[in-house]
Amino acid sequence: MMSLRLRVALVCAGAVLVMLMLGAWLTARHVAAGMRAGFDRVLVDHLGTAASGLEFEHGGVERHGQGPEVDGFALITSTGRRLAGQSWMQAPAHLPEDGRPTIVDLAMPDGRRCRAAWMSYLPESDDGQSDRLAIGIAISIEPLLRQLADIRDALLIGAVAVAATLIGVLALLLGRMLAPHGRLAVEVEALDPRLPGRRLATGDLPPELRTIAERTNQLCDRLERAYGLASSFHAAAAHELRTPLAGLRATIEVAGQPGGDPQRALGTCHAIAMQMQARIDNLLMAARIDAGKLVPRREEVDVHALLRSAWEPAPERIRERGLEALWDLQGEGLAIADPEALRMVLANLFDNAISYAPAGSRIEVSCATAGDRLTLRIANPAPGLDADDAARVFQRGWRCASTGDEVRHAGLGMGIARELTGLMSGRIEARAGDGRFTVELVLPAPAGFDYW
Amino acid sequence: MRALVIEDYGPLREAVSTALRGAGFAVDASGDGREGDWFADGGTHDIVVLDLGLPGMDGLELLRRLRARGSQAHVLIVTARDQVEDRCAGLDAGADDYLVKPFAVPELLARVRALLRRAYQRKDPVLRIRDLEIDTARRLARRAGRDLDLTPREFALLQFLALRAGETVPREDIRAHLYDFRSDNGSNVIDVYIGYLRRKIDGDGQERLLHTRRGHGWILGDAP
Repeated sequence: MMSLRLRVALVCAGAVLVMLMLGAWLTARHVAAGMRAGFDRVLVDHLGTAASGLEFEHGGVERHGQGPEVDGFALITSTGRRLAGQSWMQAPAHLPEDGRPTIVDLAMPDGRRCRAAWMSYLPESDDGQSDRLAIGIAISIEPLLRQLADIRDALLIGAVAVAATLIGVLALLLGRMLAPHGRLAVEVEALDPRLPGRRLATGDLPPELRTIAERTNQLCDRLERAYGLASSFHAAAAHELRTPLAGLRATIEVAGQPGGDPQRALGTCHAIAMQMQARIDNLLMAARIDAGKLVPRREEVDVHALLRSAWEPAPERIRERGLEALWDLQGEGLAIADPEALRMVLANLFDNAISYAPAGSRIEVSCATAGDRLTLRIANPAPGLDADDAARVFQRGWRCASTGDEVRHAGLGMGIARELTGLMSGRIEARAGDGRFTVELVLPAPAGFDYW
Repeated sequence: MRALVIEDYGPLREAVSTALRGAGFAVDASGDGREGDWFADGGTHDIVVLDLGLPGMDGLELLRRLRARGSQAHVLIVTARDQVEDRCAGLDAGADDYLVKPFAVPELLARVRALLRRAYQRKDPVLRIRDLEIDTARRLARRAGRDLDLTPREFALLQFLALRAGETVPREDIRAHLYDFRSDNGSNVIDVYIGYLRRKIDGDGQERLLHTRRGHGWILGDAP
């Protein structure tokens, strides 16, 4: 594909050439017509002069004053008898009797082209009886044709010169006018997806290009943010798996040493494996959600039982961190949800609360049904969190920096919890302030659920 | 030798602590940055195994505080952060070595031993005092070509005395460097172990290497 500049240049140059050639052709045609008309006028003048210079005496004809430039002359009677002139001068078959001249093209015996003017002529005679005569003269048009050829050549050369000048000027103007396009093209070509920090300069661009450049810059901004988030996510995910992996490896190696306790190590390894499984489940779930492949089931779920199930791995960590759990479960605790998805949501919420609650603090879990909604709340002290943090807590890759516990989380769990809750037609919100962090999860309850 | 392990991931903290105890170290362990800082404030640890991502206080901050207090403890950072800038930040903050998770426990122990030699300005892992040889890497001791059968605690005591061979080592130093925070070290346990050690290295009528300076401590090597 040709460049825009070349295409515009070619179109403009073509248009200029066509217009100039057409102009030159029309001009040459007009000039030729004018010169021919002038030639014909001169021819007719000479014909009149020739007619007026005729004298008929003694049965003969005398000619006077038709001029030396006349190349041919003929005087022919109506019966076809040639009274004077050259034999190659043949009169037209019909001549108007009102004396108007008739002009025809002829070839002279030497091959030169000429133009002949004829007219019907009634000479005066003394006896008043005279016959109509056809009088004609011919003048070579070779000089005229040479002149016309010179004029045509001059016009052609002039047109080409003007065209070349115009195309040069056009190219210069196009170069200047399309310079922003060229610069933009070079800058866009230099954009590298691996280095998303580059931006297009928009200062000297015309409005239509500025819009393109600004849009491109906005896309680069988004790309850079996405890259940053992905990079942070990958680093955090690798980070998140490395620590339990180190624990797993060290536990096995220590158990294998003299005096090691393989039985105890087995239990520890199992616990570590469960934690790693939960983290990998989160990564896989995030991938499934991103691919749009997750279609949650909708069935009646005992949320109280799921809460207990999701809490199962927690007591050891609760003990480690000196936390206390306070439960307030009311009613039947039934909701319409996907049990596996909801279990993952609850596991992530518990994991989050246990990780970020200060050591020795209390985690409160409450669940109640009101009408067609089941509301579940998990609250814990969170001295470092404010309302802005609560707004971002569901963003993937966002991690709370104020707790110093960031190494253990990839910032996935809360984002997954929100996306899964949304897929289950539920709602999840986070509030933070006054040193307290609360997550509220609302799910449809069977009373208000339409079973199709 | 006394080590402090500051690692918030419980299973890893426990495994590393166990490995270090098996290598003859007295080990204090903590899963919280602030508590770890409190432990380190005692200034009696030869080695600190330090994670960076800690609740309570970031590992780098803890390290900076440690160095600001003038601590000479040798610090080995053990972390999942593997970027060059992370390593540089850790070493520039005052760490002596850097190990990325996951790691092999033998490598961790080898690095700890190397740091320990550096702490006592030794290059050779084999300590020699006349005809007594202590191989700190293989944890073997022999005298006059005869292997000594030492318990981990006895080996640790011998290694500590050998690292300071020729100088009087006070009881307080032994207590500080060989017994962890939870140990019951209020009794005459040090005298008991000195007695065990003396019988094993100076037995069979050999020339005495372990000398007592009453009221001051013990000397391994030539008598003053």
